[in-house]
Amino acid sequence: MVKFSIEKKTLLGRLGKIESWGPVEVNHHTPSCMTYLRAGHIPHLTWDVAENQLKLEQTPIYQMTLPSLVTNAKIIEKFGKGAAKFCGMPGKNAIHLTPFDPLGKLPGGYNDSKSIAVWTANGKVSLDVKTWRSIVNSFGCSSFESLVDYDTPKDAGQKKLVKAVDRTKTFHEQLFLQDEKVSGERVVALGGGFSKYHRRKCAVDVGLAENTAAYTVEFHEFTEGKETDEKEMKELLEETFSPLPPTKLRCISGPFNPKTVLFLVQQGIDFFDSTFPIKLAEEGHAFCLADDYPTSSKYEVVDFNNQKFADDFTTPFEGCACYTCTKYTKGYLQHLLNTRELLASILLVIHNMTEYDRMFKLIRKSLENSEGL
Amino acid sequence: MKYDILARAGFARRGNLHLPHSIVETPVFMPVGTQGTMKGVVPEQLVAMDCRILLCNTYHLGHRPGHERVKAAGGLHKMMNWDRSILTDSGGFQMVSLSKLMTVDENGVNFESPHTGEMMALPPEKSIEIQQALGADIMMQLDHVIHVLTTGDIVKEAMHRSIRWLDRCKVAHTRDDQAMFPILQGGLNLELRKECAEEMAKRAKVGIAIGGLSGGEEKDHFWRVVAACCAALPPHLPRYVMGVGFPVDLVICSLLGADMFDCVYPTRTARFGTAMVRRGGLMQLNQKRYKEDFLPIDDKCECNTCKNYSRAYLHSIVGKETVGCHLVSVHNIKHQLDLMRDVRQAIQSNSVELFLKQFIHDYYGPIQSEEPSKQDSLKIREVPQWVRDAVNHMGYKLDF
Repeated sequence: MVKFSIEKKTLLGRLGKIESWGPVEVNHHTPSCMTYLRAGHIPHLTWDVAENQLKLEQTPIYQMTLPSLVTNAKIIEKFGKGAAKFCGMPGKNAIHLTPFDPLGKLPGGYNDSKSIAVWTANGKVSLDVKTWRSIVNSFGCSSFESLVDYDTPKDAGQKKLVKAVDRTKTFHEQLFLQDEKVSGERVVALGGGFSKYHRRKCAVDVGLAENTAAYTVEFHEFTEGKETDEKEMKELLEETFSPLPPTKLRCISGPFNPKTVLFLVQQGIDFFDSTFPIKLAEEGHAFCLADDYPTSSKYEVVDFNNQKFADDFTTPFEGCACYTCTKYTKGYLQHLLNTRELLASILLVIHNMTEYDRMFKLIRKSLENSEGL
Repeated sequence: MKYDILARAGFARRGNLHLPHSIVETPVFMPVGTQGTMKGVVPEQLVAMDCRILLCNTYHLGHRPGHERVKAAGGLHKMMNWDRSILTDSGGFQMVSLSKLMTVDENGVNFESPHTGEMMALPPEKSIEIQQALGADIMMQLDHVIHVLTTGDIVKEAMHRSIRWLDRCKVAHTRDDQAMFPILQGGLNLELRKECAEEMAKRAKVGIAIGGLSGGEEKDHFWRVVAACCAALPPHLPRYVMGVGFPVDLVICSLLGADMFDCVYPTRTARFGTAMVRRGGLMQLNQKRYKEDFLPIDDKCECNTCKNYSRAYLHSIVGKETVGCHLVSVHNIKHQLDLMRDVRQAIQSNSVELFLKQFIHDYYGPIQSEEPSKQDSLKIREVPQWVRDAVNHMGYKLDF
């Protein structure tokens, strides 16, 4: 099971602790984030580099994303030792399997009554319940998500919303048919798009099932770069969670900046993913929280593609103790980006991951110091 | 800075080259980090493989970020977080291969800037000035590079000019914590090579390079030039054969008496998903045959990639994720370093013939496989004639 307990509730959010994730003891404090994986790796880092140069505060819970691996599903099944081992992951880890890549594209119009579309570098793969169940079993991760029809854009009509919520319900029922074995902790995905009514309906339809280990809210229309409205997000989350038991872990996936994270924590979200730092790194950007974060929600994004750093051989971020900031300089990062060298992404991923991790530590600290409810 | 010979076997030498940043065990392969980084491999990974020296390209660094910037960064070692030895080339070779409008006169090399399009001059003094700003342990003289297949008087002229430029480089060379290697020229003409070796050996202090090879000449010419240069050079100078990196070339040249090598091949080929293997030479991981192959690239290899990843996984990500490129690069660099370690051991333990036979047997044999295809098992070990000739020249025998 996912052993999760809420330790404190405040006006700014809730503090919790994940003792174990499936069979793996983690003692992971929340708010926090899963470590995003693509092709079974933190993007751009071999496991050797990740283990030796990236120092995170807590025992990680990894987010294994399917699209980069889906065309190899049969091979992983044949391999027989699970997806993590296939991807060279060291040790025994807590790993959550999600059918989506939060940094991948998710165009509308491709889901149908039997399957949802996931997108790989070579195009669309239709994922039906039977296939998903077999992938879940052969990948052997500690947990997995139920399938959700995510195709509910802002302009979705009533008919589309009804269909999406119905499909999500059907997928959920089919996935957990009594006679079928599906191994791992169940993280139930909650959809409903921009409609309060359908958010609540979906939560009631699938969220009250037994053996639910945690929830994940389908929120890809609200991630970094999209136009969002905090009031709307707040209402949708309220509708989603109000019919559900308050003690279960609440996850959300996709890139969210430090300001949005603070807002979502306040709405009761416990667990994010680390796609924001990866997204920035892949754009040649690094970020740094304001000194008074999270009192202020400010952060700075630095674009090392900018030539103005070419002659600046000072540390990228004063006070940051990560591998990148202790061993390299702004000017070198600029040089690596300017010459399109692979090391640029490696170093930026390490810094950004470190800073995002520190952000959650600061958020937890501020919740500890806040008045309990 | 000094070079000690610890053991000899035939023409081959096992030595230690003491440089300001590390003791380099020779014969040695130097991986190439062209732009001041090793293609997605972090320096700590190179240290873990016991890599002690790498090469960076002056031409590239001189343009981006620029030698003054490298100097401002505290030198190349500091800029790239590498506290072991570095060798920089002179920039001349890349000008010849990368600049379309390159000309050479007595003053130096004239080339078109790849960024501004302006014609720029690189006299020998400027090459040394740039290399001193970069601060590598070993600098190379600017030489007059001509294509290896050029014939006629120009070969001799280029050789003599390279000697004159060596003298100018020596005058310009002021830092005493950097060595400078002369570069032997003379094309495929063994007489010119000998003359050049005599003149340059007089002027060399720490080591010397054999240049102008690996440019598409026949292998039969290649090894004979290396053999002749090694024979003509005095023993106290380590001999660096520039641009050599194919495993069989490394082994043959080491046994002919060469000591240092460099090549971009291991990292360049990794980007295209090709792994280097002792058994069978090259493994193109993007081929269908590896799709469900759960063996590591090489089950005898101790690199991190071989200890943790299968061919099937690598097949699935090469060309898709940068990690695929990093993993194959790590393996390929380790392959080269291990090969040279084995060459050194063979020289030290006086078991060169045994090593050589096994190496050639494996290299021209099939790729290791759980289900060898008929085609593979029927593959005859076709050892090229030039390898056989070189082996005979060394006085060893292949019994296959």
